[in-house]
Amino acid sequence: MSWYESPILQPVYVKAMEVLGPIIGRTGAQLLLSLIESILIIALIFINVLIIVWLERKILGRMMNRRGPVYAGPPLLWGLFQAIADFLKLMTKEFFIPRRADRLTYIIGPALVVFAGLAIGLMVPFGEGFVGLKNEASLIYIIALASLEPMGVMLCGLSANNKFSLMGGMRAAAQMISYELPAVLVLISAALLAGSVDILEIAESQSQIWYVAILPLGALLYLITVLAELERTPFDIPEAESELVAGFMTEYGGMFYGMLMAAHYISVFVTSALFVAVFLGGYGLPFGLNAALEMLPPALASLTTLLIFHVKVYIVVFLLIWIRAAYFRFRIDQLLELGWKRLFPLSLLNLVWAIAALGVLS
Amino acid sequence: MEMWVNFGPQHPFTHGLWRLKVKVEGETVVDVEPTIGYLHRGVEKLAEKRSWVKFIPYNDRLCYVASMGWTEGYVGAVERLMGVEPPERALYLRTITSELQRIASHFVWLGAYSIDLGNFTALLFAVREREFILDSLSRLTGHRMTYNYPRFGGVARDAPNGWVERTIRYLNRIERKMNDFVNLMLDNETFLKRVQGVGILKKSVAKEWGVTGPVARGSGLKVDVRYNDPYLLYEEIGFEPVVEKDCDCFARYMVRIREIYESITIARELLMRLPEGDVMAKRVPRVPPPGEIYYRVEVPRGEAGYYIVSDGKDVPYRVKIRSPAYVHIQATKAMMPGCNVADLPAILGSLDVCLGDTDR
Repeated sequence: MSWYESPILQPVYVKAMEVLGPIIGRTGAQLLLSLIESILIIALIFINVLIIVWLERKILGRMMNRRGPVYAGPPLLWGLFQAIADFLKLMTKEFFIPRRADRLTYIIGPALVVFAGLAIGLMVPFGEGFVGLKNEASLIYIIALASLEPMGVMLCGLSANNKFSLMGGMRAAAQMISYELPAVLVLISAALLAGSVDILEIAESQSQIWYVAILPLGALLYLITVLAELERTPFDIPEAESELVAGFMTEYGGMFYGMLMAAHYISVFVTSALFVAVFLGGYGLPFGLNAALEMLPPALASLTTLLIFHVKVYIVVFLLIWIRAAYFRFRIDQLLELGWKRLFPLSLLNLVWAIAALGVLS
Repeated sequence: MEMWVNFGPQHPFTHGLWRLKVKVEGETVVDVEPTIGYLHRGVEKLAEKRSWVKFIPYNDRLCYVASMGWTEGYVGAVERLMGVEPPERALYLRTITSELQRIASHFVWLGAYSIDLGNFTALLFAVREREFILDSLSRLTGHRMTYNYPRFGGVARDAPNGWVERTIRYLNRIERKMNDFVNLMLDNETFLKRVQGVGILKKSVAKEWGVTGPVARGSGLKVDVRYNDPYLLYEEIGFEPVVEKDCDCFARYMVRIREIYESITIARELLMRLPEGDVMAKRVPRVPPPGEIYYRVEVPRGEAGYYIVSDGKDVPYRVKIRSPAYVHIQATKAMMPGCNVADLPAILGSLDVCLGDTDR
């Protein structure tokens, strides 16, 4: 519904209601348009996933002194369509469920992981007016869904009836528990500063100064928990290739595997978007420069915010890729130690810092 | 809950075709049981059906990452049986190629080890540097991996024009580029956390299990055939082995890293002093006289031994090969129980096993 509030889609919405309203009724037209809107959101996420997969391969390749994919895709963006080629290949593969696996959970696992990522995308503010669902408690909704994803990973690991999958699933569970708390505490500190648990309001309250400047420790802690939540290097422990083959993904093939991989990159995009919204001022500019945007025509200003948002997201994504090229994998006990002995106390400290900052600022 | 997990025969951590049965309790390893034999090709039996000279290429295929050292072992053993002394230039070339091979082999290990610990970058850096060694060796011998270069009484062919200068240039480059690994691994807290204090193999235990090569030297034992029982030119150049005292994976890592530097120095020095002359002895018999010999050389993984019996016929009576990795795979039983599942690749990678020569 809310994307139609943006200056770009507003006329489309009005026009569509005029045309469709008399035919299928007002409610029916609204339902149809909401469906189209959710497809648009998913399309935006998937286009970004495509670009992130390409960027990851290319940037990682360059950092490792190789070229990454070179053939599939248009000139100057070689390899851009490699992800599409992979997708098509995975789609045409056999739909396979191991004989001893628990069929229902085996299918639900990947679906849950994909769903969790996409559902978070519904609430992330992508640009001026480009918010899928406005809600006063959207941060709480996001926190809840973020913990749903490791749940899906755990289901994948438990259902496949494979010892490696099982160990991967249990590691995912341990990782989830030790990282949930610091992540939530850090998000709460930002919500405190904004005085709201609405992600949109948190983003908009940073029009003067970004929270990364006020809460540098919090931003760092959140970046670490993001890495752990995404199961990326150095915390790719549930899928530790060298000892657990592919961890929870070991028994998945074909499109199930494709779904898990897609889910991973959806999470990379959505979580980076969340980082941008909470710490890097969302789709706005700092130091009150947003006023300059208002001089532009509304449609252009809205597009500009969309662009600003994506630039920031890709800076975070680049950081994640860089970390992947540079670090080694932690051991599970070292990870738990880091989670409970370092990140948890530090996130409490960050909360105190946020309260103090609130006192100073107000 | 205890359960047995099969790591291998097809598993990314095994570095070859073998199996490690691991008894785990949660994430802790209770017991391990290495199983080998998946790559058995009957090389020792093949030796009894080939003429002496025809068996040389099979030695290249014993360990495909370090062919030169193994061939050197067989050729050196038969030369001693025959009583043939290669000319000086051939000795120089064989020492140089042995050391170049050691650098290449250690780079393969370095790359594989970094994947074991979850980083892909160092693999590609290592393979990039190794390519220079392979380029140099292929210019000399005509092959990238299985060289068939040492021959009874010399080497197959002389160095081509400009090879010496080119190889020195490559070695200088590699020495410079070793900084990449220092930056990526030694200055990296996440790497040090995974290897320091992991996979302890005490000096006395190392002696009991009979480990050799970098594994023994990482445990503080001054064990190196090049030092204890010098062959080729190692006595002339006054070789000193690299020894580390920490007994853990990091010590074994440091031994190999320092050996790369050492091999670069040795190879460069010998290349600069490479004498002119023939590369093949004047008179080499086709068949050694009856007799037996045990000859050992230091391949990158440790001590490679050849026990050869000749009865004066045109084929060997018996060729027994001693593989260092065979011993190291057993030594997993001394190092792994009690560690974490995630430590398994760290420990195994630090042993640098090669199944080609273990199963033979």
